[in-house]
Amino acid sequence: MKDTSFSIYNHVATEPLLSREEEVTLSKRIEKGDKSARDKMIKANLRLALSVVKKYTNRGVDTDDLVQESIIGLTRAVDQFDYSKGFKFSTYAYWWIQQAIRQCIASNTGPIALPANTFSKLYKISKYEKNHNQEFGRPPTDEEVAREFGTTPDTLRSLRQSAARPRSFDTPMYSDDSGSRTLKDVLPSNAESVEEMIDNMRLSKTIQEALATLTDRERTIIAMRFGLDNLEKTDDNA
Amino acid sequence: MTMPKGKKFDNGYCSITSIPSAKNYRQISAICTDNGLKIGPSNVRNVLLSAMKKIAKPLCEANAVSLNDEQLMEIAKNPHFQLSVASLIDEEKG
Repeated sequence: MKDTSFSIYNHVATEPLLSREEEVTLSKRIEKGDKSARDKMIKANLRLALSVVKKYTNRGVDTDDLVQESIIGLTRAVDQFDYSKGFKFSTYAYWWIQQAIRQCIASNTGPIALPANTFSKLYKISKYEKNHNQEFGRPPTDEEVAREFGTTPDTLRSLRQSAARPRSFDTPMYSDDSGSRTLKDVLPSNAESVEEMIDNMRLSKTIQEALATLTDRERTIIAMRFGLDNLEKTDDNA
Repeated sequence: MTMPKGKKFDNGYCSITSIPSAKNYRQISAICTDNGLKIGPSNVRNVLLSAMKKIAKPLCEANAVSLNDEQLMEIAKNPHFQLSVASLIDEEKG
């Protein structure tokens, strides 16, 4: 695990894994209202929660928040697990954890809170795009995606726009970048460069000097021709 | 009276319709005449071109380009040049 926050959580998840029989025993105790059994079940499955979280990092939500949400999902799974169906707990819990995480991402990603089903649609779209890229060596066009998902390219574009995430200028350029280069360091600036500023100052000075050499009649005519009401005032300054 | 294509440019006319308070040579001539300065539309154009030439000359010199009178007049007549100068003056003072 590369992420340091995950290694912290790994130290927390020290409870040994449960066998199928242990899961059933604990579930029976939980059913009777045994809180220690519930805690044990949760602790024993923390690693599962963390493993699901790992799939959803870098989606615009803090990893710590995702871990919390995954534990909420895990708790819900523990409370609702029905051992009599014969499935392993992890099979059941996985979906609750995933659902909790996806819902958290959906409501915390981007400036617009998206409904969970929209988020899930976007997730499916991105999966489809990846698969298409692998299969055909190019990403699908908006029309192709729209056809696949029974929507229109316009709706698709607006969906993507709503899901767009704002990025901080202080975001490191690369995830493994230890620090120095951030997004703002590499973004081209729209501001004037020093050379442009100097050129503009020189140009402005030349124009001022040229205006000073004009006669009153010339100034008046230029002012009227181009609607420059304040030309005469400025020429006095010049 | 419509002008043949290209002739307006050659004679120092440029479109000023994009500038709300700008006036054509005829309007300028009328205003000047009303104010006691008798000047015809063609003369207005000549004065404007002469002023533009006076502005073009130091601009060319500043860029180390030396041009003769004819070449300077070409620049002075250029509508893009005229509008750029007007916009620069406007920015300066605005």
